[in-house]
Amino acid sequence: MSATNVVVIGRSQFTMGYRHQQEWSWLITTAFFLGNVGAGLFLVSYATGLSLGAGIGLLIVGVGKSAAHLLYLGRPERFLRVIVRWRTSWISRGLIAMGLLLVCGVVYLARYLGASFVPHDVTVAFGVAAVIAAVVVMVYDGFVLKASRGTPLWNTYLMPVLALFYALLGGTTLTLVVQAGSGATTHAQLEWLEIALLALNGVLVGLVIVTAQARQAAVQAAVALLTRGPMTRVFLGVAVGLGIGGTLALVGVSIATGSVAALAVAAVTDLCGHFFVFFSLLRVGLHPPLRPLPQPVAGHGAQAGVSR
Amino acid sequence: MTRWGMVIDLARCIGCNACTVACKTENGTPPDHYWARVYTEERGTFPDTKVTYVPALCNHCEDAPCVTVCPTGASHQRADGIVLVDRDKCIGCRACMVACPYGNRFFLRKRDLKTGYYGERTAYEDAKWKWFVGGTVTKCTFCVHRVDKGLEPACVVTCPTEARIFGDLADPESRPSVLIRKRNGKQPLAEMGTNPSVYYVE
Repeated sequence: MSATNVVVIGRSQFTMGYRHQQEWSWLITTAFFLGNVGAGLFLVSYATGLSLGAGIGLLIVGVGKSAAHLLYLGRPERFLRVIVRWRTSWISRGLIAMGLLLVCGVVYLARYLGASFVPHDVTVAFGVAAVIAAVVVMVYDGFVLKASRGTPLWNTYLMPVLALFYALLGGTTLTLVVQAGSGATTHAQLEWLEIALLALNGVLVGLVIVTAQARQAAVQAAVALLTRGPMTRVFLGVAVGLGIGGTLALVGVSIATGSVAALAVAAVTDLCGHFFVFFSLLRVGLHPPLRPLPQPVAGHGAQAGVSR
Repeated sequence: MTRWGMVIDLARCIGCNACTVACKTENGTPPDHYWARVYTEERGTFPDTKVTYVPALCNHCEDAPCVTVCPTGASHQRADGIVLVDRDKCIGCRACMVACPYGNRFFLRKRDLKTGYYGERTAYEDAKWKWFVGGTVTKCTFCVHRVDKGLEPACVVTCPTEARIFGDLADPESRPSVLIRKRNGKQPLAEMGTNPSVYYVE
């Protein structure tokens, strides 16, 4: 399917065609992104014993992600209602996990923050609980996308897997940066983990594209917009080329030369790629037409490509 | 147990959009909120072409994805199958809009209620819009306020060709059930597994 054959109609148009989801865009991408990298940073920092990184991770989730969500909501003053439907809604589960991560994470870091009266065993127990919550925060937005049956591109278990491994990648990247910035010893294994995760994420992104051919027409139409349409530069250029290819090269340079500057630039390219992978996936989310379209229909204000 | 549903006869629909207007009049929906609408579907190439009009509305799915993903319980389903949004519980996260395969949910921005269709709000808009809360999601209610009084939805009673037939799908002898059986009624996007309460016959 060619991108120019994808008939995308606007919300107010009464013509049969694919309809863009236009609700989730910059702010939701930002919230997902900050949740991913914040929880990932907490997890990787926990694993490497880097308390500063764990604290920054909590701040990213507690301030950044929360703010993005609150800015997005139509009625932010009601946000606490979100917790009531945890049995069915991944958004509910995600918010509960965020709360647990913040509370348990702060207790875990209590001694580091100067509260030496907190028993060591308590911080250990809360640390484990925080790690479990962090994993949920890393992965839940993928499940939110998976649960969106109306947007077939997202309705695949590849989404939570992609979210998890991008979160791990972002966490590893930021942990390396925090280690370098704070003068702590850099774990060589972390740099190799970074390379492995970059390669794995490249494979996962490739799988999203390749498996689309075997899925329904709305998925193929979305992928056409992604790879041969208006989102191609962002997706292939920034998210894949710069975010994965460019970062791989820069991390390689950093490992070979020990250059902190190369590592810093790699962090920027990696985080850019991370953000724009999910931004692209959200922007090309298409709802299928009510009835199958045998041929593209021109006219009646229908337009090819992203309508916005 | 009643399960309200609708059959739409595509052979009868003439694309007049009377249902679209009746819905807006009955519910006073704000601009760009089309709870009922009629899609135009063109097939073939000139001169061998065919236009079909496909009326659409919320399908009040039995397995409604919008209800499942709603984190607050604002989107809920009554025992008779009607899916509603509780405007006092909705937080405007719009997960339901993304989850709905049919695009039949609408987000009402706070600013949308400040001015009417033609600038200053009219008395009609003042009266109707008191039911809407900015920052929340709206959708077709199957005219639940009419159905609860034993009336049919506004789009159904307005349709001049009787292309919309409303009734109890749980009753095998109701008009919709008979039509679905006799004319092989099809649900929209049945492959999504939502089991819509709206069927199309051709």
